[in-house]
Amino acid sequence: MIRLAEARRSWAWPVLLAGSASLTLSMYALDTGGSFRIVVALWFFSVCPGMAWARALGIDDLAARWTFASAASVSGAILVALATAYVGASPSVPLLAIAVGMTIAGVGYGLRTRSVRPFRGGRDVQR
Amino acid sequence: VSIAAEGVSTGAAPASVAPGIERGGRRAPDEIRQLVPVAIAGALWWLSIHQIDPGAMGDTGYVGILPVTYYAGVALLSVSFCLCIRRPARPAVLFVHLAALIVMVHGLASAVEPIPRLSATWRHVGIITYLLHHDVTPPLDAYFSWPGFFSLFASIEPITGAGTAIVIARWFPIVLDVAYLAPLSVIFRSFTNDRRIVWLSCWLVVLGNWVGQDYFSPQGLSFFLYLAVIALLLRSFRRQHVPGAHERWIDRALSAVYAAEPRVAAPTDGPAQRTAIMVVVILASGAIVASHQLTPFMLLAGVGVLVLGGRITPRALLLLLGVLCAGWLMFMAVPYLKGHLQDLLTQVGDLGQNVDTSVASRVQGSAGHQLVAQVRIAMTGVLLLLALCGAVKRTMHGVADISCWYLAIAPFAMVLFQPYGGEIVLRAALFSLPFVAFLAAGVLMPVSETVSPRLGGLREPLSWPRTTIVVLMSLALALGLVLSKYGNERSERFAPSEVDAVSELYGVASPDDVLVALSPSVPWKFEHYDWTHEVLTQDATYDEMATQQPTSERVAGWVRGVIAAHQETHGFVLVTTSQLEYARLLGLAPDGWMEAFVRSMAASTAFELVYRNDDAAIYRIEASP
Repeated sequence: MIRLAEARRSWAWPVLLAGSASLTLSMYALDTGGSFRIVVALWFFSVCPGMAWARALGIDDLAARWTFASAASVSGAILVALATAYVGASPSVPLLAIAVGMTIAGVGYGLRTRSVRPFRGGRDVQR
Repeated sequence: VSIAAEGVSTGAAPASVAPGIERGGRRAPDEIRQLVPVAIAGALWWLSIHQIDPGAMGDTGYVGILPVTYYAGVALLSVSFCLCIRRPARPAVLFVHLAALIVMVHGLASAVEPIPRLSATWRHVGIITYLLHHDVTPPLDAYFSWPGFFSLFASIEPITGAGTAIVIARWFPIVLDVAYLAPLSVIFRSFTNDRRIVWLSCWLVVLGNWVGQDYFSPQGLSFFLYLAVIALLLRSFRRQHVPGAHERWIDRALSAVYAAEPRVAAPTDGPAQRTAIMVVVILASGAIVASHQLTPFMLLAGVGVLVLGGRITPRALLLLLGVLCAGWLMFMAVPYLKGHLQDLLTQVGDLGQNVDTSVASRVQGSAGHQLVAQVRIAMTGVLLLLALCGAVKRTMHGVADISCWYLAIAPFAMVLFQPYGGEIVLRAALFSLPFVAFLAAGVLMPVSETVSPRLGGLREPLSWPRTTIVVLMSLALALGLVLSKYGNERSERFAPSEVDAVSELYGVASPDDVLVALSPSVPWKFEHYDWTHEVLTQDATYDEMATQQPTSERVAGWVRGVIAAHQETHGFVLVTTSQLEYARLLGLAPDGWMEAFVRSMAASTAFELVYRNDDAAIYRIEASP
């Protein structure tokens, strides 16, 4: 039972991050969601890409992980948006594509590195 | 007793001890008991916000119209928090207290007012709307020379849904203030081993942040990135000075100077983590440089003192930051510099003028507004005084927080360079606030960088007299915050009918019209940012106007002069309640002058009334009689 709970916990963040990416993408594509769409999209852009990599890299201190995640996500999004603004390209699609790509890549890297590390007390990717 | 148990780790994280210090083996029922007051405080707050009538607000803002239940809720939360840090509760419990305080105080206007406050918020939404349909070049004004924030939300708005920027703007202060907590916690934990000081410092930052730059703005987001950069640098690139371990004279000298700094456990980051953190530091620095005029220089000052003082290792970062700042100014902000370089250069070194425009000239206007300005100065003064006492006290106990001193002082160097529109002292106080709060927390807490082995890794509980002082200080700051943050609310809030009037204005006007408001507090520019918007009190001839009686002929002449300056043939004057309140509160015109101006306009045949509601009126006027 304990191992099952630990396994569930270790999958929670990858599922949440990938789920947020999928949900943001879906609601944008279907143009639906209302207020929920605002919350999900803001959560996704301000946390998810950075959090995927913070967890993959094993930044285990909680406050530092959130600092890294939100700073990476927000500053990355600003720089991508800025680049598209100066190039004159449509701003949303490149930003969404890069943010989703970074999130999925971070989740994938985290799962891969976890699979080659010894399992430690249910805490994924902890060095 | 290991050296780690003394809170003096030499590198390896005291993983088995640190959690015990904080948690002390408390059980879930303890946490539930500690969160009950938060729930009650939240319920009191929820009841209160439904009883508030913003229309009844006086010259001191919300403080006079909040029901007793609101103050009871904030007081209960403050007492509960202080009891929780007496014997440090679990971080989650303390975080919930902080988040609740942010919602209750910094989220007050968001919850009570149905639309965003501050004219700047509406202006920022307008720039985002403009960028959805236009290029960032050629720049319309200074905002377009630092477009990072606006480009971000122009990219995000189609994803969150059309027209949602205004919804985001309303709730942005809460999101931003909660976001500040993570980097603040990292910063404070790099200064001390005592987690009670860490949490109390966060509490004091929330209570001392009256400057109100947490609205939907480039500076609010850039301040978060500033905190994140400083936090990541202090956490992962802090220089550890071990006495006697250095060969070079400079390292030996620095070791002697910094010997009194608390030895805080360094994280066990590997090369990949350190590289990733440095990449994020550089990305965030780039985002700051591209988003706001002032924050990059505050960051340059902060990183500068840490590098030059030998507190962090990546010295090249200072050079990189300097190149980024200079490069952006020379290549991307040229249009702004062309128009302002002369002004900027003449203000350098004019300390007296820069301080005067930021402090002394703000204590004017109505009696209520003067009280608010004095409370703001007093709050900052009290925190600075407490910080000074804290620094002296900790130093006398052998603990010198030198990195914190550097970061507290560095922002004030900017006062030497320019007045920043009369706000440089306020902005310096904001950037200094986290470090001032830490030092101020030091005076309220015992100096104990080591834990007692006798108590098995736990600290002594805070004494009751000391706990009482912390409670009283929190209550005083909370009351001061409500007064100082929302003191101008009567002119900074908008009624929905004012926004309706602006929408009507954009419906009847055309791009060739000149749109005139009497004072800057108006919720416009959220559409048609490129149209000509003028504010009478900011016109070059306004000071002369205000010395004369506003007769119908004069009013028509003045407004025609503003329109003619743009070589247009007609325009519209928008009058709203907030404009008149703003002018009265800040003393922009002699008593009754603005009201007389409006009466004369209404009586004049030169003006045609095209729209009116309870809070606004629109008049049309031809440039030639």
